[in-house]
Amino acid sequence: MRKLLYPLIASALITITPFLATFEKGQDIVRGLFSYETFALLLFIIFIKDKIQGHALTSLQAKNSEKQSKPLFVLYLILLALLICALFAIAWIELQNILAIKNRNTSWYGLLPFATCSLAIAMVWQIKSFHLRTISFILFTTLIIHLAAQNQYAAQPIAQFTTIDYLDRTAPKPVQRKDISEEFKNKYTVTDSVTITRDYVDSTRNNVIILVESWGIPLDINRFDKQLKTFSGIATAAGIHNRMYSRTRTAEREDLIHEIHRDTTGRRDTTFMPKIFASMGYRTTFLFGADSLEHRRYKYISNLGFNEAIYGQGQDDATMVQKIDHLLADTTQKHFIAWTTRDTKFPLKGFTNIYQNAASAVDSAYTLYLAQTLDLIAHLAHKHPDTKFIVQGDHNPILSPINFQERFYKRWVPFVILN
Amino acid sequence: MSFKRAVTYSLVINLFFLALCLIFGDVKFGAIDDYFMAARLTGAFGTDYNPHLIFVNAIYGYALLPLYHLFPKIGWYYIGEMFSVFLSFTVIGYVLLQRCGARWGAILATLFTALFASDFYLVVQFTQCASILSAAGMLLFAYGVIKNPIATQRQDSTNISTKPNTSVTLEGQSPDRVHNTFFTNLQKSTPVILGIALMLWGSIMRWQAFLMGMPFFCLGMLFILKECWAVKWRVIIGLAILFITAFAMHSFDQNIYKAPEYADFVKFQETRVNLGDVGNYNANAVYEDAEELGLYGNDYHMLREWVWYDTEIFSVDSLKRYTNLIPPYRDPNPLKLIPHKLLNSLGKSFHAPLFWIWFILCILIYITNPKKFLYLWTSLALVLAFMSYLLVMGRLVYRVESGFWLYSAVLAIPLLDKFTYKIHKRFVIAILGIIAIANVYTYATSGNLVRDPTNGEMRNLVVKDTSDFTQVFEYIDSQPQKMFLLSMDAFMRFSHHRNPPYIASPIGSYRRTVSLGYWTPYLPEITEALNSFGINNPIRDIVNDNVIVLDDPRLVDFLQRHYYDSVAIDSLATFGEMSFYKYRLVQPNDTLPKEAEQ
Repeated sequence: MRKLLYPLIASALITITPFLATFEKGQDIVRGLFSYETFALLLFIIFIKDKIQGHALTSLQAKNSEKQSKPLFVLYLILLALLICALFAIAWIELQNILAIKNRNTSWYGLLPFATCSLAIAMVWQIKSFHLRTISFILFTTLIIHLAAQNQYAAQPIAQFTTIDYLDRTAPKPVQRKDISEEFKNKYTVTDSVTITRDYVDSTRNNVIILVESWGIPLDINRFDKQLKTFSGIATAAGIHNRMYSRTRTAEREDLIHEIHRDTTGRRDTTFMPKIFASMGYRTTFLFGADSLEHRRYKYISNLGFNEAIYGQGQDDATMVQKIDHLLADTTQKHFIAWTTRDTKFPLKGFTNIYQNAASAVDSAYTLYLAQTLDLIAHLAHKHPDTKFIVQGDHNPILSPINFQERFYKRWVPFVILN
Repeated sequence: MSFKRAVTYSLVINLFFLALCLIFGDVKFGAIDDYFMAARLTGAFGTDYNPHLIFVNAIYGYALLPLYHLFPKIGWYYIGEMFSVFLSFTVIGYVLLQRCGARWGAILATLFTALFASDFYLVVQFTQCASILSAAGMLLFAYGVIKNPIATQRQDSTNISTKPNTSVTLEGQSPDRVHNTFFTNLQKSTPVILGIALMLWGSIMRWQAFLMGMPFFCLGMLFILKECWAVKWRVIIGLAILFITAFAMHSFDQNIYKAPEYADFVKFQETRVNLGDVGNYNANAVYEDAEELGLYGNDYHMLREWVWYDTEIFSVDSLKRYTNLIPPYRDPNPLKLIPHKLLNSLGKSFHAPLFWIWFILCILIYITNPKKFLYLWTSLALVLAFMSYLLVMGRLVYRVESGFWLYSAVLAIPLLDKFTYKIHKRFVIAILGIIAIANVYTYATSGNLVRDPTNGEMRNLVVKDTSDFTQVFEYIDSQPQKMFLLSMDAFMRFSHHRNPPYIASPIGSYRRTVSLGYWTPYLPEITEALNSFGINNPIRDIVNDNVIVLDDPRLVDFLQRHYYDSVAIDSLATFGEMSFYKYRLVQPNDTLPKEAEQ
């Protein structure tokens, strides 16, 4: 019984000591009673130690056999040293696992593994070893008992698997892209609202509503600051808002919703802003630089109530800005203009494969195109200081290499109000 | 123990559990795939028997054909599967009795069958049949090797005078009566030959399950390498025959589907698996990317719900545009997390009775034959290796996992040695009595509960629906000029109500009910049946006068998106949850309200 209990207690000592040393009142950390690995190592240490002792004994009795058994003796010594090193390593990792959960530095706790391991080895040094087969059997049944008990009562596991915990802890974690960080929240307005235009349109002036294709919120706030610098001096508000889907159609359609109402039969109906502005005598225009077939705009754009929809044959953003400039030059009436840019649409120009490109190459091309488009918009706004500009991203970059997509928040886009 | 006695004991034990399952259990196929394969065999989709079973080797179909011709009303496919399970259990029980003696053997064989019976008889299914057949075959092969007189001779060289004789009586014959050496050789090889036959049957039922067992087979043989060496020629020839025949039969089956009539069907399968079966990826991201690319997100939703029998819009080439978006969004599966997941799945497999059988047998190896104790760790390592492979793929399911435990449990049996601890006869009878009574009680009270083949949780196979299917079938049968297109859900429910598994689905009984999803689309006889009703493209031609749709009123948007300006839908009849619909084109001057249009 001692043969089994002593290694068990010794391994429990190694496992529980760092746990108790870092214990705080009210903490809720589920931890096993002993580390499975240290238990196994201790059993093997005893086994090898017995072999060495046996050798020492026989070599004393018969000096003739010394020649033959010497290499074996050395091998056992090396094995013992390795096992003891492994024991220290496991104890060290166990301590680090605990400290990682508690977010603490190693400091004086670093001494603990040395103390506990030395004590553990001293404890088991006088114990006789099991047969190798029995060790194997004990380890096997321990594993099964641990798992069976875990199924019944998960709150107190029997064994702790230090190396598995370590692997878990160091495995790559998925990037958190769902919630906007505090850093952003402290600096910018962050709103859950999916409709921004409604809150900022000005019924006394011209309004230009621009959706910048694939303009997302980068995880890196400096990058976002740099983008917004383009508008310094003319921006009256800037912030971050939510989108239901990362989809251009959602942005184009839902952003222009004026109100949703139900009639007496419960049927839902939606009024869009172009309709409202048209009834106020505005000239309402939708612009898009490519064919009306793309995303089937010919169907849904016409339902939003624009007076006119101008499509192109693949015109770039600069050309479209000129068109808007031209429209705004007509001062005989007020304008309500909506435009969706195209230059930053994925897959970007020069990239035929959607997912297989290097993230850095895609990123630098994207950064360049985006800066150009934002510049064009800034210039246009400068030129028409009396016109209100509502600029937003339509969705975060999608349809691109995953590593690149992971540099942006999911379903969050910027908005900037100019003039 | 004599051959006759061992077989009788084993038969009695297995008949008892088979009877329990049949009396108290819910007699059904464990997988709907089996039902429709059986239906295909009996010509339900077409006009004649068709032994090409898609997932099961056609040889099984051809072997059953004579029986179908003799007794056409009986569901031989089901009976064949049940028989294969029964045969495998009996073989395993027989070897257990031979290895462990009458008393211990009886206890172990009963325990084995008791723990496995419900998982196999009541959820009988081709994959599990393949596993149990292969496992029984491997066991018999290994048993044939260790039971060999020469091997025994070498093992117990001290008892040379008595041992060989008792060994040869295995087949119930005394050696002195047999003079023909060829005949004796053949007789000695009987277990090996039968083992090979069982393994080949297993490979017919499901090739992958058979292959999956091979590493376990190798491991088991490695542990009896000494005995194998003693009869090396028999083993080598046996294995050569096994592999050559297995591969030949497999390629025979594969060649069937290379015929031009299967071209459309075969071409569609990869797409079907990608859209219908693969689930471990971010479907929402794929939806958004599809929309951004200018594809139809709503079409993608339909495809995910197994609605895809449109030969134009959903042709394989155009579906590639959707399936190509899937791989980048596969769930990340960091290798470092695999050990943890492995430990969790190992803990979960404790709910599977097969795990405990393996555990008990391992402990028995430790007690009776400690030299072979390493089998425990090696078989565990092999199971864990397989599990991690499946975890990386994200496709670890209960029926596959239990296959691993089955193989490693069964191959532990040859490693058991003599039980030195004598057990009293009365005690044996008491234990057997307790097992029997306990089982009668559980089967009587919860015999309809089975383990779900996917997640291993207990559930019954009753489908929750209140629809009166006799009325549904009457409605269909009353309109012989109409073709009925079904949602996959309705089609699958038919399998629970049309006919029980032990009755054959009559020829042509499914000819006028074609599913819009599932794996049946593009089968040659279904294409032909559709053509005979003037339908070339099922979803597009849904508006034809002779087409009625069951249980899918959501196709209006799709039809208007791709084919027609305006489509209306009328409800024809409703029986419980099952509703019949008629899609029709609306002329521009038509003033009828468009009910389902959104």
